[in-house]
Amino acid sequence: MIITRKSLNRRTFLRGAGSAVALPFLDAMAPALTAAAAPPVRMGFVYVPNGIDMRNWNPSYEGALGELPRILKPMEPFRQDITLLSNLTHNGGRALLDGAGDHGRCCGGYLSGVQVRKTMVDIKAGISCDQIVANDIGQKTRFPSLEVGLEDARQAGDCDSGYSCAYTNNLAWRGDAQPLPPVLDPRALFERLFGDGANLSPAQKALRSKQRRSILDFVSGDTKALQANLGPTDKRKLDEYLSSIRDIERQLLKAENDNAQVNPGMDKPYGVPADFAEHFKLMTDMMTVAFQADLTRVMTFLVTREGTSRAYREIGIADGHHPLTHHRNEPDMMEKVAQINTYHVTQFAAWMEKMKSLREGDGSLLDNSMIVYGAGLSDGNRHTHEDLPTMLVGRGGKHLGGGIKAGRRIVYRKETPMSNLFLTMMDRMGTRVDHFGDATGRLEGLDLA
Amino acid sequence: MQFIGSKPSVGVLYDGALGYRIDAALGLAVLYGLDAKNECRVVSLSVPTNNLHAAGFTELLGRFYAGAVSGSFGAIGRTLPVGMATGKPMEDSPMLKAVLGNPAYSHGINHLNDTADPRAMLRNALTAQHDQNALVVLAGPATNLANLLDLPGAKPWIKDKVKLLALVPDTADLPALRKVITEWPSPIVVVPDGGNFPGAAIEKDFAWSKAHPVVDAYRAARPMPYDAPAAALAAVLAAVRPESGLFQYSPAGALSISEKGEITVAGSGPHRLLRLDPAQQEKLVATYVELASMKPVPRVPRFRRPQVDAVKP
Repeated sequence: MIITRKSLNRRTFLRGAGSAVALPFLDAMAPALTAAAAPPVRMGFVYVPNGIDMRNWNPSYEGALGELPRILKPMEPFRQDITLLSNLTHNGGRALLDGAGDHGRCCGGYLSGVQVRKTMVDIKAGISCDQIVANDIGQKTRFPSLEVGLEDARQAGDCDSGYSCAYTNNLAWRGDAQPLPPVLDPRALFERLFGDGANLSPAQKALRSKQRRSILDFVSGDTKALQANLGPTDKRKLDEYLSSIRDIERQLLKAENDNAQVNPGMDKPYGVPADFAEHFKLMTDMMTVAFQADLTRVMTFLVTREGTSRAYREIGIADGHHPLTHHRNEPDMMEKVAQINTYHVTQFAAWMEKMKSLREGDGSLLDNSMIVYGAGLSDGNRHTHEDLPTMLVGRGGKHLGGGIKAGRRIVYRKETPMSNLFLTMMDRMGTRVDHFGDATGRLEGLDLA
Repeated sequence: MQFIGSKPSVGVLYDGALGYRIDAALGLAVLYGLDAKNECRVVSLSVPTNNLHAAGFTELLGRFYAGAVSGSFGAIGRTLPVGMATGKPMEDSPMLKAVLGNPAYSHGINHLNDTADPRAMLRNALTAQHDQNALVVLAGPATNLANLLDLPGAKPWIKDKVKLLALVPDTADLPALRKVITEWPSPIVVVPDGGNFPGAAIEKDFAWSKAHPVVDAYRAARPMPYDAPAAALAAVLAAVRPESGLFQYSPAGALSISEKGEITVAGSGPHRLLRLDPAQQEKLVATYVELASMKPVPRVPRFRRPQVDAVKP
């Protein structure tokens, strides 16, 4: 730990045997920072599959957000943090000349703006915008990017009409043929973030395992030393932060205990909670900590894989998600799709609540973030690739021109490329590229100009 | 890219001063006539003028001929988006006032965001065509095509996809015309004159429809009776039926454009000028009338395999 001139280095870690816990942005760090070192901007992408029931997604108006449609209702408390974007198009998701396989195309090229190659072998997509940013600024954080998901999925084989499962099951692509599979197991994510004790002695490892001790126990010495040098506000912030890590550990232990007792033979990683909402919360809690402690500034979250037939018995839906989306306008099936869509947004809203509750600089962690929640299909029944459901949450850094003016719906011209949004977001991350995907320019109303 | 099934008929991107040039409306009618005969597919519609009513008129024509089910842009159950240039706004023309004021017709364009960004739309339409299986017909200012040329990566797409650009010179946007003449990467046929479309046909051959937007536009464009210039119709025919024998052409060469916008061909190159053939005059007019006055053909939505089981667990 390095404390100089009564200020705290931004890269301070609490260290203990085999463990290192990064710190959130504290007021004590500010004196050491110039204006250029204002809170960092984070970008995240949350992808839901099989399109959205657009009748219950798009408001009937544009401009200032009033009452939100049914699926977005859970986001009501954050209405002023939302920018709803309409008419964005992914041309590369369309068949063009490649026939069936909309699910494979729409996810595989979602963050790169390209049309992926129709193949099960020599896959070819494009570098995704999150990875372009990660390549540019990733050296500033411990992890250039994080890729997480909730559904176990294979990486090879045919997942849609001749499209490799690599396309439907990954969101982030480091290069044309290098997908970055999402981490599904909360324990694996936790250990990635805070260390797996690889540097512990065998005796320490045994003790840690036996006692199920908290990672915080190993860094308690540094914690106490730091607390002695912090003001009351920072002390409270640090307490809240460390408590959130402890909560995550408790959730992990609970999930592992439940799995051991309820279904030891379950076909998923040991630490994955059986309950979807719990799993969602656990992963997003860790992403919050990762953003808060500046462990990474770039994140992709594939909620479930494109084309998934997962059932949602948690909310009384035994039918598979994908078959339901091909509802042929049958009201009962359409209703279930809307329920699933709303259920996803409900989980997402809980995460946004957490992000908004964390103070950072003169705003919140959410103010310094841009989280896109969206899908690569709009109408899942007809497989349409225009007017994609796209919700941008956060202001992308209040210090950057006052931040994104949220709380409104912007309807762009038809055929406006989704790549224009990503190009605009990359600008806000400080990553300037001339061309990206099929972009025709920046998105008016979100750009830095 | 893989080719699935047989190659479809040629896709036509039509960009014209609809609402301002009556030949642009007649040219689109001819194009839909050829589409009805499966000689081509209308895959993109755009106007080079900044006027929502012109875009609305274009969508209205699309609905009249193709119905609400175009199947283009990978979508079933919606009309083609209409690209519209931005720039200096244009006042409504008499024909726009006449047609859009008629409750017999409907369109869905009321705001800028009801129209498409023409650069993205033209590019996207091209990406959906087989190599050398697209045609572009320009019957108005070259604004949209010049902007398309500025789009990163557009020129290779154009070169690969577009077999021919049939261009009616319009000097309303001379810098854009100059850019297209000098930078367009595929062969061009310039159509300075297409003869005339007989006004008498408007009263006789279109009578099958109680309300016909092209007829209403024709009547409003000038005091009747009159024969309309037909350069846009000739451009459509030259593009879709290059072997029709209805026209004569200059030797192929390179195009040059004067300060005033006069286009000439000389030297070596793939471009040509279209010339009227007096011997074909009667046949040409009959072709114009036959195709422009054709009844719309109901479109059957494309068959799609049920997708329910397409994704394996």
